[in-house]
Amino acid sequence: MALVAHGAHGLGITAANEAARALGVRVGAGLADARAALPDLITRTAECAGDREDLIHLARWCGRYGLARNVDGKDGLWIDITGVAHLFVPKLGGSAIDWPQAEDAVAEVALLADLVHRFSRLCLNVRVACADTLGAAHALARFAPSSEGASVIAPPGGASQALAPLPVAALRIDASAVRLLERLGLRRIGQLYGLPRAALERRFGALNRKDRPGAETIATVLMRLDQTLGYYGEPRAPLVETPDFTARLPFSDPLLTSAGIEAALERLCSDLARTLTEAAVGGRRFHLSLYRSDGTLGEVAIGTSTPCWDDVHIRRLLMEKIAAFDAGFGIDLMTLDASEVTRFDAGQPELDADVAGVHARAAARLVDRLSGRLGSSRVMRLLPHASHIPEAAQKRVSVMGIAEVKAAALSEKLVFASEKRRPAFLLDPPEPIEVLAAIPEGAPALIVWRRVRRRIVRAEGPERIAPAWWAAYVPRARETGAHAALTRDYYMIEEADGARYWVFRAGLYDRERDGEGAEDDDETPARLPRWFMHGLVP
Amino acid sequence: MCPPGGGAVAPFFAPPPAPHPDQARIERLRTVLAGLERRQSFGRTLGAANSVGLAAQAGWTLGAPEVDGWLPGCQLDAESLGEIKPESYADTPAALVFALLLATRRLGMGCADNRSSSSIPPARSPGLVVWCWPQRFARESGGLYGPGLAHLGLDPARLLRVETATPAETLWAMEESLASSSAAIVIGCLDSVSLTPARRLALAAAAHRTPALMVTAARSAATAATSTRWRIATAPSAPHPFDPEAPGDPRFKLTLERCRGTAVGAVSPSSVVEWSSHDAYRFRVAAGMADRASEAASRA
Repeated sequence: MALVAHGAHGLGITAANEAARALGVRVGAGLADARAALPDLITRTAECAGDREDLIHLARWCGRYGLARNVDGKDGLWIDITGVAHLFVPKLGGSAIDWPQAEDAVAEVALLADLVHRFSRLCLNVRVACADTLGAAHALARFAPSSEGASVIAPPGGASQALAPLPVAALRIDASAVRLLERLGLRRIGQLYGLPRAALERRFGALNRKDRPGAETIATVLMRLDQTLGYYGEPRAPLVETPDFTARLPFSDPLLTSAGIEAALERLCSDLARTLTEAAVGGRRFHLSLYRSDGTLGEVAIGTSTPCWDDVHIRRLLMEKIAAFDAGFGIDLMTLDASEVTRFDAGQPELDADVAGVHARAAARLVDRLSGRLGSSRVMRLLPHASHIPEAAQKRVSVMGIAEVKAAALSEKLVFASEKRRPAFLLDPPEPIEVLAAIPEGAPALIVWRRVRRRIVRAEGPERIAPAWWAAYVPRARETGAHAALTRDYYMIEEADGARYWVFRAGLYDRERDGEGAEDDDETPARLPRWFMHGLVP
Repeated sequence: MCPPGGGAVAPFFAPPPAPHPDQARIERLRTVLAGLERRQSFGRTLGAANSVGLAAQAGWTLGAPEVDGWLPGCQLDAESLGEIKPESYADTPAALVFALLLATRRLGMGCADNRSSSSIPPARSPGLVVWCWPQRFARESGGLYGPGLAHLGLDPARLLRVETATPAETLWAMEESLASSSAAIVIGCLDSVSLTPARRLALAAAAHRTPALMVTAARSAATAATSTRWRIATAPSAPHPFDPEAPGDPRFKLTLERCRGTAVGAVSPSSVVEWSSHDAYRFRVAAGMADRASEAASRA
């Protein structure tokens, strides 16, 4: 059986099972060739996107072995296990303290065995390797001569020795580079170690002058080699940002009940809170990962508006989110991460005399709870903004980002101007209305808004608000429509029964007109300015 | 444009009766009694320790003595649930604004007299104004606008605007806000509310000593869990003092349909009040209306 997908040369084989490989089906070959050799080959369409997604899920789940981890190529995963291997050593009589230095390999064997065991429970055959560098582990996992499922461990500093017999393709270089090296007779990684580099680069630099990409290829090969052997640093892009603080709680028996999860969560929160308090920091993002034993991962993230180190508060926010959590076949590991940490000054809130401080804390808790459940974009505050355009004079800011914005606003000493009459409710965008006015540039006498005729008895205005001078040069800078770049005359009008509105006329008679009419000046007569309803005035 | 019944000349207020020598003490005892009655009606004693700060604050009034006179103890109950209903659908913005103005009174209460004209009143009551409303309301009447609120006297920095999707979320957000004890007042907009959730809100308001207001639709049935119910309509304003063509201060027709602890209910007192934003940030009975208001008060 084989999986096929559309390639550059028609349908090609992307994966084949053991039986097919034994009969000579090669991955990468065309389907037609394979069919010719093996007419009764069963094929299915490969779902590359789905595979990729599953691989990412798997990478997330691998967070139990190391926080920095990601997908490696199309078919691999890498995990940074620096300093975590000893956690997987079964504890024997409390002597776990002198593990790391002396018997490091034991720890790694235990970790890899655990990993292989868990993957085999998921019916996945894996090849695992552990080495000093990402490149070495990559090469060993894919090309080391070992049976499937067995793990290869290169001892610290022993990577070059372990890699020497492997083919050069293990260096994460493309096919053309492999061909080039093979033409030179370099088939094993070990053959590259002693090469005179300067001469090599010079020679291929000469080739490059005849438009052959040799120099770049050989430079890539040498860089990959250096990276693999650890002479040259390799940037890694982990799947998720490594948190600043983390607390983890493994279980020997998977948790199934919500009561168990709650109890575990309580312990995790207090562990993390203790760590945070000891470091005198508070976090603003908390991330709870629940590793199910069936290889899936449940994740819950919360944010707080102020740095938080209070376990009760964190737990309460998390509880709300995991209320309907599906434990599946059981949870065998929970981790809680804190990130975006900042220093805090521990006070004694209970002894504080200032009521305002107590209130500020209670208010921060409240907005955390509200935005935790409703979404941070739904809990907003109004902040002033330096603009004379009415709709731009205020900004609605999510409470989660309020600290930064507030600091910015304070530094500008902005407050809402209160001396002018303004609507309490602003329609955004303004709604077009029909207006009858006694004189062309006068106040409305009758308006039709939302299909209702309203007779106007009192009016205040006009209050002229000119657009920003650059608005004419920025086409559609704001999405408010054509009236954005026009002079507006605002009127506050009152209906016979006392309802009040804030309306404006966009554009001046004979001088300004709508943006759309600007091109065909000669054909159409000057368009009349349009009227808009912009707000409801108390 | 004269308001209905406004043909009369400006009224002469009767000189206030000579104050009783122990007036202050009597007032204090009345407040205590009102508090005791309320606690009894909820069937439990509420320790003062369970809420911070706000408990000691009292004296939430509208600022118009004629209207405050309708209320028990001449002030709004700061530990209960109030309902504000527009008289018709078209009056909904007026009802929303009335809720905002009550919040303004709540924040700036007790300092209405000694204030410069251009600044927002200094806040006496700590805490936030939590405004919970469904997105539908925001689409219909527009979003809250800071400069306008500032003009009314409500500090926009104190406002927390919570947008909800369902009535259940609005009720939840209101209850959470009440329970946090950090809100000076909690206002929610709902189409209608049934007895059980309203009762929950009323209990939460009493337990945490935070007032809650609901703005409900004109036609929905009123619930019995509220302690006050106002019916709001817009009223034509007087001409602006400096520009006869321009509208003056906003006016509302208030009707107190229900008020626990008084005889309101059989006869609903009604009055036209005006919000004066430029000097005092308080309500006052509209000129030309005062005579009718005092009449109504004496009837009630």
